[in-house]
Amino acid sequence: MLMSFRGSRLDRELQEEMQQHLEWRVRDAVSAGIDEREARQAAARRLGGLLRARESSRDVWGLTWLIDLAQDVRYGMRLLWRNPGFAAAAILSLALGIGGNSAIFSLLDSLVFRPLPVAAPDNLVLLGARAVIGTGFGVQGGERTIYTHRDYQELRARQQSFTGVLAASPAPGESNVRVDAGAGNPERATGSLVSGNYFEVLGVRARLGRVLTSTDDTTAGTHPVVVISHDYWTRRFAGDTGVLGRTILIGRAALVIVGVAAADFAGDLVASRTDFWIPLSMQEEVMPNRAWLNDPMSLWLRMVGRLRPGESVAHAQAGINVALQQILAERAGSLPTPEARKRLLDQRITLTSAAAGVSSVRNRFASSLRIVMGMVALVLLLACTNLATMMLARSTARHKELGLRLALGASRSRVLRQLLTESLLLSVLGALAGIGVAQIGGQLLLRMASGGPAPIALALPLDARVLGFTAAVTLMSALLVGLVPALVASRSNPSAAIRLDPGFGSSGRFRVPARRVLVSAQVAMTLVLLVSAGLLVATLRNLSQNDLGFDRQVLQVGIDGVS
Amino acid sequence: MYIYMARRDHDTRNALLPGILDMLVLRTLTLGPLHGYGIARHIEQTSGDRLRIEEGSLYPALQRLQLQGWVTSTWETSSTSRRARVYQLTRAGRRQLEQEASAYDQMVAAVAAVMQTG
Repeated sequence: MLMSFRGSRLDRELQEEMQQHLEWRVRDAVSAGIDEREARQAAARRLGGLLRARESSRDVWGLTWLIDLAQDVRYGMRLLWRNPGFAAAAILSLALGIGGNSAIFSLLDSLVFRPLPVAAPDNLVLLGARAVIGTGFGVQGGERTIYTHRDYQELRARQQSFTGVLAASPAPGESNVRVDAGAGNPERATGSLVSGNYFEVLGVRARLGRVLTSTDDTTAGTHPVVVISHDYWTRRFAGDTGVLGRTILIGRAALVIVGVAAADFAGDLVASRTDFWIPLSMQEEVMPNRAWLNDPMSLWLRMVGRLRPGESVAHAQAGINVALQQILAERAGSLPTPEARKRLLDQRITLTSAAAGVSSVRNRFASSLRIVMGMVALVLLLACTNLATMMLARSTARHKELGLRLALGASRSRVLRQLLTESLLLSVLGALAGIGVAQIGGQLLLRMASGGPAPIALALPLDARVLGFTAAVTLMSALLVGLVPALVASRSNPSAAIRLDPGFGSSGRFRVPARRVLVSAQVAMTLVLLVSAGLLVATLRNLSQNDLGFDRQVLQVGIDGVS
Repeated sequence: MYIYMARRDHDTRNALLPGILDMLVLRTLTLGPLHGYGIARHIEQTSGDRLRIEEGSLYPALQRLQLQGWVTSTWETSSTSRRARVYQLTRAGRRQLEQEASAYDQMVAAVAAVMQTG
């Protein structure tokens, strides 16, 4: 816009300058004896030179392409306005295609790829081959994924590859809490027990008050503090800055709110909601009847460590396994038989990246999401091919207009640019509508997948990554839709177009095979989509009718003392 | 002889290369600041009316020279209270002129050598 403003100013100045130039020429001609009228006529003839000069000057400024682009966009909008049926069909199919891709990408990105909003997420590793969010009892052999409190303390003391190791538990999970210690009714909230250095290792600061520190985790039962999440703070406490000092009653502990975590932090668990974090030392108070803290058989913690700068994962993994073996060797000493000792020592820890957080939901959905991604890509391809066929048909109808442009002196590349701009315009309009589709569709998919005990809390922000992906898909669609029809159309024969007979023009030879190819491609893709959709439906039906080994009509559920 | 920009579909019979026009403009400006018409008149007169400058070539040339930083321009109000854009040579422009003049001399000598053999 600024350029075009400058452009018109430069244009006016140039006009003024050349007008002056011509005036002087006329004056000199007159003083040399030439009749003034003749002189002005000669000057008027040079007007052609003036026009050329202005265009050449404009070319030198380099603004031609911008002026052309504006022209093409205006023309494209007019064309769409005059053909509302085509425009609606095209924009709708593009909106569905681009929107669908954007939605699935956004889901995939949030679930699998997006790094945690913490300091240097690439240095975080999970001590475990996969994320197992749960609790257990006994001794875990083989691949370790959950740990006892004693495991955590001993491993943390002996490790050397990490600047810090945190432990966290999915407990207490969703529980009844009473805000202001009984002043109101019990509410449901989801919390997590974490080690004192949780926020420090992750590198997360407080939005209000403070975060947990190692001193909160020293002796059992003596630190009744809690840090709440930013989302819980806005949801439940309406962002009240006086929330510090209020208490939350869980189990038999009245915990004082000492801080609100930073705005975009929702815990290291992805797709599970965490409303508050309690120090490990308070475990027995918030979960009465479960003495896990000092029980050497209660497996309830996952461990995440931050690698030292420059430390490699392989090296850290070797180191942590050495430490583990030392710990196990000491414990093995009290076992009666050699076989028992050998069985105990058969444990190892595999380090996996925790840059994108830890998630069990991820395992469930990642591969299916990728398949769906492939399918929506195919749907978009189908929509683009369909549109390309339509554009091809339209360009056949427009060959007179295009031929006229070529005859008037437009270069073929200019005509090509104009046609590509028209398809880019369609794609951009489709993408704008598609973003709306993506937002609605994404939320819908989340809600459908969330049915069950643990609701999936996944934020689908419209951030730079999602927008960048959408823009790339839009550009690609524009090319797919517009390139073939544009190439075919710009080959129009000018003379054939100027003649009044409605001949097809010499490019008729090119058009027919192009259309055939496009249509066969569409049929092929539709078949693939139909078959895969049918297979998916059949699989889903089988799954829901599967014999799970018990009678699902009569299901007994035992509830054990959840407070 | 006309000097004008040779376009692909225009007559290229009597065109001089745009580089030569640039050089002539720079040389003209060594005599002092001048407006566009003055530059054209000076070249025409000094060449004995053998070179004729078309506006269509002069103004793009002046734009080019300005973009390269060899020439600057200002608007001045003349005694008749008419506005005119006056161009002047910069130091970089002076250096460019020396380079182009020497390159041109070498080219002329080379062409003459070929034309005179045999």
